[in-house]
Amino acid sequence: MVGNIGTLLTGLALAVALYAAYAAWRGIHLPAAQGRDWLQSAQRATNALAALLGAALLMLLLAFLTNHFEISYVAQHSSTVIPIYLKISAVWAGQEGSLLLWCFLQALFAALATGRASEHARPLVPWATFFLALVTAFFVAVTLFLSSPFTLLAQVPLEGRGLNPLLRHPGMIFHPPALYVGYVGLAIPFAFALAALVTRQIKEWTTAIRTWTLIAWLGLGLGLLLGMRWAYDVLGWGGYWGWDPVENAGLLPWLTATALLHGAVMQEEKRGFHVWNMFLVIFSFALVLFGTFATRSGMIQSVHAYTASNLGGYFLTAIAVTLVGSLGLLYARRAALKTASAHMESLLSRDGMFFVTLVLFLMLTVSVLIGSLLPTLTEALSGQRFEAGPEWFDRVTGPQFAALVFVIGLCPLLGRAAATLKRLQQVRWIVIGGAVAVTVGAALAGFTDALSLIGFALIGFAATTTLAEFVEGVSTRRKRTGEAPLNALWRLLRLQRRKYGGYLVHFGVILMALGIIGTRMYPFETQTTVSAGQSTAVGKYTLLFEELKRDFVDDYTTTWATVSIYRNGVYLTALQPRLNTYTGTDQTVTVPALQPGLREDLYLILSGWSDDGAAVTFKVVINALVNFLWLGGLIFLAGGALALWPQMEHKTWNTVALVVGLALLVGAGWAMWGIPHGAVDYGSGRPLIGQAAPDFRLSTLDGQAISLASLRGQVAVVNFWASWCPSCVDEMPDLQSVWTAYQGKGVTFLGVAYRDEEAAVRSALAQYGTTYPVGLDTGDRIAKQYGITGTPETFVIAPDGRVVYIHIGPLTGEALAAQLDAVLK
Amino acid sequence: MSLGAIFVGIAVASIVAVYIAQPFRHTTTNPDALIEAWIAKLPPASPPTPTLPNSPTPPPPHSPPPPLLHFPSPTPKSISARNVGGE
Amino acid sequence: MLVIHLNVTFRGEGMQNKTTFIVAGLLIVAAVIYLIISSTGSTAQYFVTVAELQALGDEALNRNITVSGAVLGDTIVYDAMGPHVTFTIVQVPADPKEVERLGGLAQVLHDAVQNPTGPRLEVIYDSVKPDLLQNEAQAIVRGKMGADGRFYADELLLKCPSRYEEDVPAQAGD
Repeated sequence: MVGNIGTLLTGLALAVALYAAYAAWRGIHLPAAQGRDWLQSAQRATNALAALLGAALLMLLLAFLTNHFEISYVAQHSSTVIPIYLKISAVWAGQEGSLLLWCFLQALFAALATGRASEHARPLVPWATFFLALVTAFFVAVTLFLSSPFTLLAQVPLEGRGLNPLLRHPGMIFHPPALYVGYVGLAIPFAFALAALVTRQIKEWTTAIRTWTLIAWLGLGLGLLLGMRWAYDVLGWGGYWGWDPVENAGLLPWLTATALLHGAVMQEEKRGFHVWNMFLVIFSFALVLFGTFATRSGMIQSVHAYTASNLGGYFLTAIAVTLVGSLGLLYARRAALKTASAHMESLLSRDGMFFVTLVLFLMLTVSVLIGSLLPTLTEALSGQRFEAGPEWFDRVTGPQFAALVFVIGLCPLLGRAAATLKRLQQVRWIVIGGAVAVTVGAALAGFTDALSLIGFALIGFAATTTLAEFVEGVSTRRKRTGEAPLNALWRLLRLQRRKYGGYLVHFGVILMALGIIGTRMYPFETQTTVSAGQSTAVGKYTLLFEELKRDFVDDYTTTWATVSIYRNGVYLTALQPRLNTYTGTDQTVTVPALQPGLREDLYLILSGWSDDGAAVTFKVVINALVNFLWLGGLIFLAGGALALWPQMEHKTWNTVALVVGLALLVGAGWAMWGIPHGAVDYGSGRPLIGQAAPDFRLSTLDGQAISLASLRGQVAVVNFWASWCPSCVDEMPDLQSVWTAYQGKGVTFLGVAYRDEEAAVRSALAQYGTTYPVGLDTGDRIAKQYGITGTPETFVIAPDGRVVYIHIGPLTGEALAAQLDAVLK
Repeated sequence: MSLGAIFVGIAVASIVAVYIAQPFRHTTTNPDALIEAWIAKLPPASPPTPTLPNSPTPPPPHSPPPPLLHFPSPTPKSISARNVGGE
Repeated sequence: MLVIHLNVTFRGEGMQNKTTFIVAGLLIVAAVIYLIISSTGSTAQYFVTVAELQALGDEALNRNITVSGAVLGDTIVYDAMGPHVTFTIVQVPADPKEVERLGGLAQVLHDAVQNPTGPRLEVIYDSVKPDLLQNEAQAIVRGKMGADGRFYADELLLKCPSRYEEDVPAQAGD
């Protein structure tokens, strides 16, 4: 029944959407009083549309939460054993559900945008309602007739197939909704732009939908960042962006939306760019449609795409209709657009640089588009199909991005042309200093590739001018109000949200550029095989493979290797990369382990193991500067959120918005860094050979307290064992015989019982006749100091206190004797 | 399509229809004014006799007034007063 | 230099500035077009099917190639210690319309694997075995053709077979 209700609600929604378009049309074309009724009815229809689609979505959610496996979509993406939060996210795990989510967001935004339109926007609302109703109707029709999430199965399975394991990550849970907020949000400026064209009220439309454009842009940005972090965490190849056509599908409208934001600033400042902004908004919406086309039609060769479905043709038609209709309208209104445009000044002025910015963004969009379509284009033009790989994209977009960073650096200095040059003159020393500092710093840190140094210089330049904006703003304010610096900064941000939000975004982008240069220009990757207890060196890291373990969880089997990581000989952490095999679908998923750092990330993947688990193969990737990418991303989001923070009359609402915004930022931060990445803390970790043995105090069973430090001058053999451990028990006779042999020769033996009980220990000692001091390690104190992960483990410590031999596993008498002989020499 | 789903569908459709059609319903004006207007439009049939709302009707000539019970009877004045008050 | 020249001649002449803008814009456009064409010439990969690759013969040597095909599950040999994977892919048509005509991608992959006469290519990949490397998966392999007739892969991208009709990003090997 839930499925049927869902279908009915969706069908009803389609009817209401078509009615809304009709009512808006009539309302526009009838004289005032009657027209007003029709328009109000159209508005109500738009609201009802949002409610209906929301209810349909709720039905789908309910179906998931109550395990309605008679609905095909639920059976495909859920099961009884997955946790509730994953059941919720399963709603948009597949094409049908995600389309329904899209429809709902589209209707919701349409209702909000038209119902709560600002003063500038109100004259445009009737036509905007009309266009938005058509757009919503299209998506609802596609969902209802071609891709419904409510189709039923003839036979009800008892258990669902479960959520694709790759999707069980917070990044993937929020990535689709964030992206959809972006995609759907771009329909709003589009509809209002068309309305402005039709009614010839071209000057004010960007002001009218400023907030919506920002929301859409921020949504796309968040979606892209989450996608990147997810790829980094989950896909296990060490990278975060593959220039895959579907990834590009999300990037393309973001690029044009960024251009639109900048063009809108110009238009609001009465400096023209009207035609530019019209083009950009039409292009953005067409790219949104292209994005869904790319993801869902299977026509573009991509590893991301949903399998080939019949949706492709319809989206292609929609793109054609949109472009032809909008551009036709644009052409028809060209006279009005010409009179609206203003004069432009010199290239170095604010206008000029904004112009350059827009051209760069446009060319970036065109580049990425061409790259994504290269096979089709080259085949059509030359008969031979070529594909653009990551190399192609880096070569083509790299210089363009670098140019953008340069312009970002110029941005705070811009005034009218003469003023720009003068300002540049004034700050030239600071700026040069900044550029040099970053470049030299990078070179000293080991980043010496020439091309990257140019990049670092640009970054230094841009960072300096942007930060200078904040410093200058704070100091000016303090001169006036005498506030403490932090207070002044806060006030500054609060009072000029758009300006400083923008500069924050710029700063975030600069940091992201740093991360991109590091990872793209200094890639490092290697494969290595290690046996248990052995270590291998990778760069300045030493990896010590401890052991391989296996466990059974929920609906998958997990195998993991424990690896101790040392950097420059100092213990860092223990990582546990794992491999999960899902029983329902027989799919294996690699879960990488990550040790983040400022200079680089150490990224470890478990790729395989020998049958007895004694040897393991790892893939190691070192990602230089990658955390600047995530940090920059967070600052970018913070800047966008600041710009969006509303200044409403109700002070309480403003505070609420602030709290919500901060919570979302914290959430995004958690998605970036807070998720466990396979690092396990073992206290100080096992000392390496040659390092000082950690001191400890052992209370032996016969009442003595022996500290390791007191054994200086003698050779100490410290054996960690347990009475419940068969291999430990096996080695006890050998240990005793070696002890008796070397007893008077300056050698001491200490036995540390790991997680054991006194009675069992005493009995084992009695059984094997052990006479050297043995004590219990209470609370794993000593074990933690020595990084013990299992028993038995034996350490031989030289008279000077340094570790000279470590043996994991049972030790033979001969081996131990040989070691002692070596040390005693 | 189950019967329950159809009922829910019809119910929702009705609610939505009412909600959407609301702006067209201008007829929620004062019913009294409508009635008065309607009355005013009536063709005058006979000269309008001035009728007071509470004129005591002349008793039928032949029949004596019904015997009063032994309860204190309200005077005509208080009757009209009560009638006026009860209007 | 263009920049300084602009500053000196700045007199607010509308037409002159408009030309400047157009010139600047065209310069950027030209630079980008140059980047695109030169990159396509040198770094773009030949995007071919197995049959097309075989037809290229010697011309295919020493070029970056991207070849796609269906994975034959029982040819997968994995040495975890290397790590080192070898497997064979079978010819699959690249034209989406052709694929649709033959019944959709899943059907085409299935048929290709069953077909004993389809052109085959042995692929060698010196890295961890991607999780999605299974029978009937669609493989997109980037690398170079060896003189021995085997394909040496640098990068392996896999799309899951028919069972998952949803957004299943591949575990890309690099």
